[in-house]
Amino acid sequence: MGKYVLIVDDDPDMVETVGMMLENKGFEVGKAYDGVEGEASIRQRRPDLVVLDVMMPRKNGYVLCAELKKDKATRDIPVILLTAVGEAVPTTTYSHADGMATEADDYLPKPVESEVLVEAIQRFFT
Amino acid sequence: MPTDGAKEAGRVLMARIRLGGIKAFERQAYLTSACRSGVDVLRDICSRLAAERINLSLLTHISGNWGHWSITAVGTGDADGFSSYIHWKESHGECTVGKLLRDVSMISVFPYHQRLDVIGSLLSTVTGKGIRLHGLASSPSAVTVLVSAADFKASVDGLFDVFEFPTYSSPLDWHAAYRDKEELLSEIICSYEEALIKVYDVASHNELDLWKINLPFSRLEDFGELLLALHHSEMRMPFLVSKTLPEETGLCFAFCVATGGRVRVKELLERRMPDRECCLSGPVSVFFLHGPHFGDRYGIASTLVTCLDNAKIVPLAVSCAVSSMSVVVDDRDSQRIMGALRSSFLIPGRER
Repeated sequence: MGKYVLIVDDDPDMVETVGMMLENKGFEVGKAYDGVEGEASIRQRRPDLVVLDVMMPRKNGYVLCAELKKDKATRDIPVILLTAVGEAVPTTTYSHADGMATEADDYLPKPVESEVLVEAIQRFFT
Repeated sequence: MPTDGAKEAGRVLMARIRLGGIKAFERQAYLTSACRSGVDVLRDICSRLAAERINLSLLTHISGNWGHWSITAVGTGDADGFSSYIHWKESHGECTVGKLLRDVSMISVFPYHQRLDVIGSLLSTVTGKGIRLHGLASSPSAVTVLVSAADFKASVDGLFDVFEFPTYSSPLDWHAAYRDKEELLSEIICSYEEALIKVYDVASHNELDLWKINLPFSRLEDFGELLLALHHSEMRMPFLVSKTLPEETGLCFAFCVATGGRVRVKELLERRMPDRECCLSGPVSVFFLHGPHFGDRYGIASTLVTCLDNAKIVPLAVSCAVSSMSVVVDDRDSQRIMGALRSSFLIPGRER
């Protein structure tokens, strides 16, 4: 069985796209569609890595990431923040600095190429 | 033909289908434009809205081949963007601009995994409650219904009759969570700046049939039952759009299923809807483009339609919903379409 990667994103097309891409690379994939569901899913089954969107309903990715990194039980789970907040979106209150302040293990601005995301994930398992 | 009571009993006995969640957009404006064959407003309306930097929350299009109407329907955040367009079209008199609905809601359930039981149950439960559907649209992961604002709550509540969602045990839970996130994305919409539009992925299905059927509103629940019957034949539906007919007497549906299921689809349509004329075109391919906030950003659909038009590829049907664009083309165009897409989109890797 491959490494278990949890994708947390409120964009269902994004979850399906990334999920299929990772399954094709041999990962086992879990899916959650907002921050609250993501947190519940992590508590229920510990993932080997979390791909986390930032702007989500109920609990955004920054908050969830910060909570995971504060909790002894979850702080060593690698978290890749994946967000539309990047060079393509110059005007927003969600910043790179905010993202890095959450102690996320990696931070990829959307649009990210699929190969880049897979490489970023695989770096944690080599 | 089953009685209403038998249908209701069947729904109650049926196990609820487990899905991931519900997405909704309220306060959307929705315009349907219809043209006789030979005239098409798809590129026109997309480019006009893009020029005015107006985001499309939904776009559906069914080409007017087979001598039928070509119908294009567009949803946006408000009705203002349509005013100059309607005025211009009416002055040219080549198309019928349908009623502009100023307050519709778009409700999507996901992931549907191309499952006909999800689409059939969705259709049956909404129409079974007497709710008027203004349209449907699929994306790779979700299926979306359009209803009037007045029917929004009843529509969402009805979903819980046939679907279950892991984090919402009841409609009340969902409504409470939904109210908290209304303004979440407003600040980034319209803020994208890209030299070339990046796409996460392009996926395709080929060897499909494109079916088209017009149905009066009174037959929509029956159509939902037909889709459930197709589900029992283990068929899948990767593409579906529908929109109001020009005369506002019902909905026009266009959907894709594998060519291998042609006999079964034909048999069911003839048995359950013998009075309805169906059109079949195939083989066709459907291409899915998914990118960041494709559902929120202006100009994305216009870029797609323009690049196809420039390559002289006719989109037989289009659905832009949630954050993806789906386009149906003749199988003979399936090789050329990637070249056309690459002229306007930055597509990573290779097509799946």
